[in-house]
Amino acid sequence: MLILGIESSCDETGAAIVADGRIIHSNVVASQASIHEQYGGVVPEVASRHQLSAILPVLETALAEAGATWSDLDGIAVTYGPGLAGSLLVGLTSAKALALARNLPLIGINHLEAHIYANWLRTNDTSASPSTAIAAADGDHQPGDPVFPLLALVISGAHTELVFIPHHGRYELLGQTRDDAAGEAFDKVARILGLGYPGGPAIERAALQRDASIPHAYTMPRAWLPGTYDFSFSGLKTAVLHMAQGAQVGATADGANRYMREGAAAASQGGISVPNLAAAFQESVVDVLATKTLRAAQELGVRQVVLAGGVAANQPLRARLAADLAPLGIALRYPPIAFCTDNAAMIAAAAYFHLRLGERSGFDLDVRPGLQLPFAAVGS
Amino acid sequence: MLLALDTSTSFASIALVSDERPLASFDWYVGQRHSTELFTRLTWLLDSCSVAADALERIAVATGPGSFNGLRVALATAKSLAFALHRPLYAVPTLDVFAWGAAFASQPVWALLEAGRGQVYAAAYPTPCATPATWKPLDGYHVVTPAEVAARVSEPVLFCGEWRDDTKITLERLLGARARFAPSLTSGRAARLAMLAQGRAAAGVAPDDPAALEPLYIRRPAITASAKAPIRLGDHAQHHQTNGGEEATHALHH
Ligand SMILES: [Zn+2]
Repeated sequence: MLILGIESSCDETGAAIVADGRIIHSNVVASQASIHEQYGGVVPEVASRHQLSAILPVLETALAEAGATWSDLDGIAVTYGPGLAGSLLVGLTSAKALALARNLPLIGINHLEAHIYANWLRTNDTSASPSTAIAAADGDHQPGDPVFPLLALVISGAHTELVFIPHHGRYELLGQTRDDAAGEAFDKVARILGLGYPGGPAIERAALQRDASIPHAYTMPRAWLPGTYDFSFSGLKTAVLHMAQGAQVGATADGANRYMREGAAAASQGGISVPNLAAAFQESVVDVLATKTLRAAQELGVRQVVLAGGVAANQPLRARLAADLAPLGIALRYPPIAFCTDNAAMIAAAAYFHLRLGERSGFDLDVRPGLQLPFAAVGS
Repeated sequence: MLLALDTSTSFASIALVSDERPLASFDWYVGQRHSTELFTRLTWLLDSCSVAADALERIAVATGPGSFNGLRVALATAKSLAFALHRPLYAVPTLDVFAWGAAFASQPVWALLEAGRGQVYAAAYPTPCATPATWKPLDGYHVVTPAEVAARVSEPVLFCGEWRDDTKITLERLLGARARFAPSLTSGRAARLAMLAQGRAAAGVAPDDPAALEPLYIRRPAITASAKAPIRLGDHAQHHQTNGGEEATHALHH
């Protein structure tokens, strides 16, 4: 089954052609990151306008690179949420028009579910089974696919969720962030440190430059929220801000907290090291995410853990989780970096598992900027 | 067979035209539901005329100004249909479509559309005009207050398009007998759009490039305060550095 996927939820315009939810025939992404960098974040109206300019060139390239014609396709898949309304509208409307023009099934895809299904994509397996073999496979499991029951850590600029997935299509929410998403914290801290946008890669790069010879091992707080699988990152972000403020204006005698004083002290002893502070922040985020994920994986007895979302590209997080899970015999899976950030191949991958069950979307499908994963009540 | 679609305002309009003969058109109050309602109406229109999508030979679209999301729906639809069907696309500004309804008037025609924030989108057209291929405003498309429109009018004119009561009252007060108002054109827009597109095709005017086509937004995107970057420590440090401030030069090591 050959599916054209379309992704336009934020500032990336993507089109991809994927066979059987796994085998990538083409994957094209046009990014606006350099445009939004000057604003320190995505400006919705600017993003929406660029989506409309990019959509046809991206579609054209995806079809050409796959060597596919319209008659080769079995369906059109498109993100309908969550995301920016104006941006989502471009991809969804385009998908409807393509489905109407070529008389193809249309399927709206939840962007968060697609991030999880990025783990089904194969990137280096050119000898993958032909289409018919996969379609005939019992339960549609192929060697190399993630193995249920799964634990998914969904981490992006807007989401931080720990999700138990016993089988295709069932999502049980174990915990989520109570304030900032992990990716949001990376963006905000990168902004405070003057490291630019997007913040995740910027902080990861900066942390690699950390200077072990600087005596200050900045310790950043960790919000454990005991007894829950919930997360909180706003206190951590504020600690970084206070440290930077302390370094810049000095700690005033009263009202200054520990991090301001630490910042002021560091400034007087040669200055705060931005790479070291970035590394300390990153360590704190990774520590909390990894610890809670490990505990959930043990408690639920999952066989594999999958990472999903833009922050899944973070190498220290991958390394830490893989090392923690290995002694338990639990495999950590994550998509290659290109499939962690927004792309259309993951949309087509998720769509396969819906289309093969006969699911279709109507032409009245609307964008859903605040869409969540379709969580089932735990125990139901 | 030509399909024309206009979702640039809260009234939407679609039409099927065969060899200059209108087959069917449908106009409705769409509000902000452009995305959900266009395709259900479009499939109904095609089905009711027994026209398959691949029988469409030309696509025509109104490019604005208007609702930004409405324009995105119109253009994403028209671009994608033209792309998937390999058919020529004809793009016509919404104000041209409004004004074409009064192209045979004996006095100059102004097309107006509410733009919010006390302004209107406006364009003036020379009349009478019988050739769709040359139908263009005298001096482009503007976003101005009704009073600024009135200031540009010296002779009797005919206003057409969509306006609020207070816009009309202002123009009447400032222009008196020089202002005449066509009935607000909330229906038949796509049929007029189709006439303009067919006229261009018949005159041998080249179609528009679907990939490159942009809406006529006229207004630039508003950069909201929340989207602006807050004060960055790094920027401060760099700023101090350029001033030679000593404390800042060692405050941050990148
Ligand atoms: Zn995403």
